[in-house]
Amino acid sequence: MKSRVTLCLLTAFLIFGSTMAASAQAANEEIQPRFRVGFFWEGYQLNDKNLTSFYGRVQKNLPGFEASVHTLYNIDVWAAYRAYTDEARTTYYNLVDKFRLDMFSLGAIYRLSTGLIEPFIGAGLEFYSYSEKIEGETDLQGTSGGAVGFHVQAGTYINITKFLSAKVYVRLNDATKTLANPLPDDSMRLDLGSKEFGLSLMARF
Amino acid sequence: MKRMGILLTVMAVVVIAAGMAISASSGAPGTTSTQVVQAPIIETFKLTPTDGQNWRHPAVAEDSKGNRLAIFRGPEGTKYYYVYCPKGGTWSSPQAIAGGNQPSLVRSNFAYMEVDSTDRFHCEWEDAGAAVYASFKDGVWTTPMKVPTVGRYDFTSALALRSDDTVVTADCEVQGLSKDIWLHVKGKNDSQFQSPKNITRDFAGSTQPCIAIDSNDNSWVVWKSDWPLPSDPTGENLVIYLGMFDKNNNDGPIDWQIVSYNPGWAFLPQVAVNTEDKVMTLYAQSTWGQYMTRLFDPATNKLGPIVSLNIGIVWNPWHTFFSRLAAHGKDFYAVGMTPGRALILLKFDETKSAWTQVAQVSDRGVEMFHLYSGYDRMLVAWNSYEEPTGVYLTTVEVDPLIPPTKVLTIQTGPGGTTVPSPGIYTHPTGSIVTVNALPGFPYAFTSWTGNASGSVPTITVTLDDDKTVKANFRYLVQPAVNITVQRKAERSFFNAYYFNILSWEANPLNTAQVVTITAQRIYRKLRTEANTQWARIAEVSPTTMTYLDRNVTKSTDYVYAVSCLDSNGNESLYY
Repeated sequence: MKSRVTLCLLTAFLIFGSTMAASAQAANEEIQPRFRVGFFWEGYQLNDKNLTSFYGRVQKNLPGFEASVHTLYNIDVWAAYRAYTDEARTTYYNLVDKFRLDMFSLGAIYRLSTGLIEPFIGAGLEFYSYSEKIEGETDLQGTSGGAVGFHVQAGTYINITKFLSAKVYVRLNDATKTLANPLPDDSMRLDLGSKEFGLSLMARF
Repeated sequence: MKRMGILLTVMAVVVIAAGMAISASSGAPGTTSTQVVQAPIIETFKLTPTDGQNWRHPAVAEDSKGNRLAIFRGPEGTKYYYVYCPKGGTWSSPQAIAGGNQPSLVRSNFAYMEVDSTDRFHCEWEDAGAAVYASFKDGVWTTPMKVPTVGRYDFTSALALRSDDTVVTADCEVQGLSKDIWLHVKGKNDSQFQSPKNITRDFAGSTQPCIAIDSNDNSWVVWKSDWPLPSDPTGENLVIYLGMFDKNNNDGPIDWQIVSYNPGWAFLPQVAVNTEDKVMTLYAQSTWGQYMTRLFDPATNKLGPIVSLNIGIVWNPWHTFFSRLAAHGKDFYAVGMTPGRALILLKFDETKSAWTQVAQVSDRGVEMFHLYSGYDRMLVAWNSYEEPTGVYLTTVEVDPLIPPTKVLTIQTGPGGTTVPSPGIYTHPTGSIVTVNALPGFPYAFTSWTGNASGSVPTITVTLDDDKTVKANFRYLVQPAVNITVQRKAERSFFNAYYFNILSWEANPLNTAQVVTITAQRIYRKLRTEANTQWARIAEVSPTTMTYLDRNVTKSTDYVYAVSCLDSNGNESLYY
């Protein structure tokens, strides 16, 4: 937990510092597209065995949105949003059980500006909101909650044109939440961490 | 009386000749013996106060518990009195029977008494106008009543009991010139005697009856009858008849025969039947100046020889012709009075065809007496001859009877047995028998019925009468069987609750017994809890065979039971 807080503080510091630096240098540099806005399509793999076994899915392809802004020294501030939803049935009465996980990422990436190909690495925070809803009459209560985690990622931009860029990436997320009720394996710890790998298409400007 | 006086005069003459003829005649009495056996215990009790008054004409009896009752005529001469002595106790003071509410006596001579199977004392004493009957039990007398007659009551009456406690009396009644013996029957539950029956319609001059009853409840009656002399039909020939009368044929005659010497004069016969149904007769054979006896065996239909008691008859006054006879088991005992008015108790030895003196009963002159067979004593009630007369009871030790028995019938309803097993048992009267009800599976003992009551499985039955007890059992409705429990969970991803699904089957025993199940109750406890911790969690309909126990936790181990309720609200066990 301590390391996670440290990471969060470091990421915030990087983002804040990068933003301030970018604004200071902007006037002196050659004008480059600073913003990237696009969407991605990724493979999303939950780490939690309870989730994967209960909902019966190891991987799901998710769409998402992302945006970044260049600050300075090849450092971008990057954010993304995607939502994971899944559906299962309760174990005895077979009621529809809907699960939703909204994920918002905020972090910094460092790009190597080599022209066409711009490899990058990055790190940041993950802000998760989850909920479960049971349809039909049941004694089971719906559940919702949130968690904060972090991520690290790596990939490369492929600048197709001056205004169009693609990106491939791999991202590792880590976020856990201690619950009041046990999960199916009697664990009280919900692991919302995941692995993501995907392809983005972005406009640069 | 006039006729009696003539008779006595004639007898005085005849007996002299007869006494000489005994030794020479081939028709002489059988062998007699005067050997005295080892002295028995003899006890004498004075039953009446020494008050200078005359108490007379007693009878005595003993019930199966050893309680004794004696009756006798009071000093005023018009009422009968009684004294009672519980076993091991002391005799009460004389009290008038039924508080004196009894027919006023004109004249009495003797009384009879018998005890029935319920220990009720049945008493009859003689009045000039009729026999008077009353019974006594537990300190209470029935109101004495005159036994109804058709004709005019004549001298002597006697009483006996059938096995069903029916009272039968025999008396002599006069209609015109005819004297006949009549039987009077009073059933156990009858309040009055039935219409009397003339049993000697074909005999002239039948008087002085005595009656005894055999094991088939047939009546054996002896009486004195005039029988014409073959050689001189106008002369008087007084013989003793023994007749058997069929209970199952309205006391119609089966057979009769003369048991005394014929020709001869005989008076005041007695009759007794022993446990082998042999019939002994005793009478005063005035012709020979002896008390004579004769045994008849119905099994062989043979009369034994005439056997004398070997004690002489007192000639004056006439009533000393009296003697008494009683059966004691298979033995016969007789009491006769010597010319010196001493009472002698004798026992009949069938193998020797002789009477043996057992004891001299009285220590003074005797006027009247009665003999009764007790359990281990012969009871002789007598009154003294010299006035003022008192009533005494002398008991003479004899072989104890095979104890009187009562029948205990043990029955059971379905579902159990008893210890002793159901059946018919014979025990000595007064025995206390313990009976234990044992329910079988799946029954429970509920109650005793019949001559027992209550719901305690073990009872004691006092056999003061024939009794029937019945153990009743109730089918115990049985719990459901083959209960299975499945642990299930209803869970979403984040939440869950657990429940147990029970299923069971109807108990085939309930089905076989056609028991109506009205409800089923479900009980639960933790496996680690004691049986006292069972808690009812639900009641379901009789057709429901599953139940979902929602209120469980995941890691707790529960045990379940399902009981059944029958239509009477009885619930089965469930663990």
